[in-house]
Amino acid sequence: MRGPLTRERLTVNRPDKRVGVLYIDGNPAERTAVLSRLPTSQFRVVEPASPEDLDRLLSQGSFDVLLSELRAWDLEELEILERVRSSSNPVPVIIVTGGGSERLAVEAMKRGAADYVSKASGDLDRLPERLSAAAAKRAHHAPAHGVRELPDEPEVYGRILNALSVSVAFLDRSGTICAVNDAWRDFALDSPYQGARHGLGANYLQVCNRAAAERLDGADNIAQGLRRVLADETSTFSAEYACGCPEDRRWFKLIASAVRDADRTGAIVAHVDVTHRKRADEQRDRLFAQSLNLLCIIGFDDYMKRWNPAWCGVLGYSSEEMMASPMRDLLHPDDAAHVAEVMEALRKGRDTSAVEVRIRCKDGSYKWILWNAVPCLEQQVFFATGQDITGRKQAEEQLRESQERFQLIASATKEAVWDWDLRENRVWRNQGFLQSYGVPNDAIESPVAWWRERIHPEDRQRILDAMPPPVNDGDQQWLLEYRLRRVDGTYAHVYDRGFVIFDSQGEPVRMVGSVMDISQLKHTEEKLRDSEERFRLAAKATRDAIWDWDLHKGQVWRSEGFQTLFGYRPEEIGADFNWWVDRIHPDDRQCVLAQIPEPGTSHSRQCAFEYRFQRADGGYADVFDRGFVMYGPDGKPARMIGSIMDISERRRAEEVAHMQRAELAHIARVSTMGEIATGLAHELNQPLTAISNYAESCAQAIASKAPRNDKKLLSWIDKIAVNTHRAGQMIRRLRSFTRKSEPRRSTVEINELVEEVIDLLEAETRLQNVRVRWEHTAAVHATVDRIQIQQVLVNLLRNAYEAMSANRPNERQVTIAAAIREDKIEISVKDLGEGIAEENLERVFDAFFTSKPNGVGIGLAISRSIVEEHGGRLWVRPNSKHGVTFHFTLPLSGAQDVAITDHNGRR
Amino acid sequence: MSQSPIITVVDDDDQVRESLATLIQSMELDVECYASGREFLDNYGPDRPGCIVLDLRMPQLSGLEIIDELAARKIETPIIMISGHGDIPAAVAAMKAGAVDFLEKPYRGAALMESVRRAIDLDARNRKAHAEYRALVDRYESLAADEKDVLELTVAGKPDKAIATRLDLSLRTIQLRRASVMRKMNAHSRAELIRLAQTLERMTAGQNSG
Repeated sequence: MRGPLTRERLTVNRPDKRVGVLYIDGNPAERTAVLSRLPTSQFRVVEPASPEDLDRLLSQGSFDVLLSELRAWDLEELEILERVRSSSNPVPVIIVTGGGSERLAVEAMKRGAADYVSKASGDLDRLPERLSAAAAKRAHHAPAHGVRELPDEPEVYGRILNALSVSVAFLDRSGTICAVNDAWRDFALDSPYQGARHGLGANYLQVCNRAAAERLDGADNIAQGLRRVLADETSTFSAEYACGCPEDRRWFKLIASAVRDADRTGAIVAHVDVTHRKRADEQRDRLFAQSLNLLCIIGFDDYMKRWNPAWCGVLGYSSEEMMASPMRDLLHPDDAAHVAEVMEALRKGRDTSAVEVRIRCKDGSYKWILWNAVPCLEQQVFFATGQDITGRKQAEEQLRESQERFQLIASATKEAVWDWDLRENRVWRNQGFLQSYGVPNDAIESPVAWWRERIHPEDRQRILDAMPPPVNDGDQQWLLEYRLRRVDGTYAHVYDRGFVIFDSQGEPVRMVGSVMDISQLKHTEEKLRDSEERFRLAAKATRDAIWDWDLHKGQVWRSEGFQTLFGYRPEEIGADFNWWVDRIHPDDRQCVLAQIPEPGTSHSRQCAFEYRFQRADGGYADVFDRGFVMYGPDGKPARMIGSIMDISERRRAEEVAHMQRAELAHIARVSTMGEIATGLAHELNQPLTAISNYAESCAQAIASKAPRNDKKLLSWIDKIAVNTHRAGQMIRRLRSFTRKSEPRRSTVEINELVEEVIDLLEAETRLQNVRVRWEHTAAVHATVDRIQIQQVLVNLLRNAYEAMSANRPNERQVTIAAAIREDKIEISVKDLGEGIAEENLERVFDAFFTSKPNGVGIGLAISRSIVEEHGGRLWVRPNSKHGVTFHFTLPLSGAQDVAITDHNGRR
Repeated sequence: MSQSPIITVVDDDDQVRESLATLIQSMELDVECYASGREFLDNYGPDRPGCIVLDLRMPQLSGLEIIDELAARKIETPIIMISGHGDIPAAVAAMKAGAVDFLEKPYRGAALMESVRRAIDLDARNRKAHAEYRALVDRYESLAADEKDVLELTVAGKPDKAIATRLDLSLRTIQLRRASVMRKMNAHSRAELIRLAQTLERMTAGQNSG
């Protein structure tokens, strides 16, 4: 059935295509967060100040949707919904709230809200699309949206025409003016062209002809154009002309368009005053022509469109020549590529700074031009300016060349060179000198003092005594050898060689010298020192305590390490074997002594033990002691040499790391729990709902007048008990998993442990539609921290679930398998998920590596550290088809349980 | 039409489903149960009045998917969504999809029963309105093509003379035809005829846009 016939409507499209949003929010911070999500390119947001303001805005009908907090102004909660509905022009309402609850959400929807959005950031991100969706729905239901009706009545158009500042007249075919608007009437009255009357009834074509006859500027052209429009040779014509006296010139644009209606023919003529624009044009042209800088407009095709006379002046080309060649032909070949790059970047909208380019002049020489361009994408041109900087460039070039030469000479020598101006007491030093020995500040200390201070203290007096060097006519040179401190604080062995320059009076004016580093030479000398010395030095250098036990003499030499590590003063360090034995912790002493190889009886050349060694202050250090036996020429043990390392720090660090790992694991468990809890909350509500249902049923039955059926009542009460137990089980499992406890190892049956994890994740398994296959072994025991190993499994299982979340429900299967491999049990978790990219197979175990949008990426890192701490390994391999399999091993506690593996499916 | 209403429960949790059925029965209402969305969609017939109590989160087909499927089948039985997972987006999504209520588990039995009763009332009203609409459509369809033309122009407010000119028929013919239209449409006055035609138009538009 067709709808009622509709009158044809003259419609005006609303120019603003954006979604009109009315927004009410009293919370400033939240308001900012909401507004930041609504780009002004897409949304036109208006915030009504009061209910009355809202009514007024709604009545305008130019809004698509209202976004409001729960309690707008001091209205009741959600009262805004009724208020909008009862308005003359209702719009969809979206409630947006920072707090809120599910009950309120349902209430809002029941009372007619189009949507309900929480201000949680994740939801707010979707606000634009939800606003648009609500607005689109309204557009669908309200056909009048965005369209105005204009009454189809002549006087309305007359009013519109009279409101225009453009003067409009209708001419009949002969050119007689039949109708004019107000603006024309005014225009005709004070027309600057006084030669003609051109009000109603006058013939406008004749006015123009007359002006043409008087040779007024452009009049001939206009008269001709108008004639052609009236003769129907062309449909439109437009021209600009000037009139008035030279002191008050005014410019007009005339537009004539033919009218060919059934009942009337002729033309509409309109005049637009363009004097402002014309004057601005003139000013611009004058500036353009008289600028000394080069100004031009270059097309994206690289050809000049316009240029000012400065171009021809600077480069010497004629206008024709400028026009004939593309810009790149005028550029120096070395600059062309760079300029092209810059122009390309500009065209892509990137900002670039001015460039210096060489442009060829007519005489073949080049001028340096500082070139700056701005693109205009609409017109496909650049607006460019250029400044002749040839003079500056030449000066720069010369300066640079001389500096380069200087640099070359200065760096040519590796030696440190100095030049001391004795009269000015100023020293110049080359780069080599400054690099090696530092930069003195001559302003605050004299060059001599600076140098003297840097001479090694042991050499200083000797060198100062030798200065000033003995100088006589024949011998103006000297050579000194000493140590000079380098900039890094070390000393260089140097040869300092120099000479003195005298003036004509025989006065010394300059001293020039070079300092040669001969440390390398000295170092080689040092290498030649005898080995005993070197050993002592090494013992001194190492942080360990070194001992050397002469078995024949029973004497023990001990290095300074006993002082630095354990605090014994040199005189306290004993030279006999028992000094050491006395300082071993009593609990460790027996054990350590038993391990020392009996000279002559043992074949062992080495020994190593950890024990506690007493410090000078009475405390004990954890040490690692390693020694080896040296045999004499007679083949008998002659010496034992060894070193003691203080490992207390390492021990402590290990302990701390161990505690931190346990702490981190607990945190990870708790955060995992937070995620599992979502599923579990749902699961926990099931038995609670059942309990509530049965309880209400009991109450109903007891209150009912029907005869009581105790058997039925008892069965319901029994079911209440069953469900209570079920809820309790869930809570217990959850609590034991998140319990924070010291890492504690106990002997655990592994299959049982796996099954507990499967139970713990039951809710999530079900919600994610995953099937779990469990292939267990015979009972097998391992000594592990039960909670931590469960954590590893929870992690692997949840990763597997997540990897398969995009799979179809019948393709979500996890296979957990346990198998005994020699003295280890291996547990594997196989999924059919999206898999892991080859290059990430190892990286997944790095902390903070994650592929999940919300993951922290710490689970697998913790899992691996847990497994490794248990002496096992955790790794991952891709499956042949889909997904990956994670494996981990745990050492078995004893072989008593090793049995034949059998595979049984479960679930 | 006078069939007693039945409450359809869809929940995958055995305990919840059975206890809910027990509760509804103790209120002396008929109940039928399904353990999965698939089973429900395969067997549900909307002929009997009543309402549907639907769990939101179930494996395979979720409550929202089931609502969409029912809408696609143009089944309008009111749906009450229940969920153990209280979150606002889920509640909003369910209401937008067309649920009449959303209750978080565990709910108060009284609250559920009140919601159920309101849904049954709504269903009864819907069914009545639908039946009236069907009757109206049947009456309209019984009109001949030229009678429909006369009806349309009458509804558009044209005077008889204008209608006669438009259809190039005599005034008398138009009057006779409209008398026939009024008889077939069961309208006792011109005003009632226009009202009926407008109701029909509005409801047809509602059907198509739904």
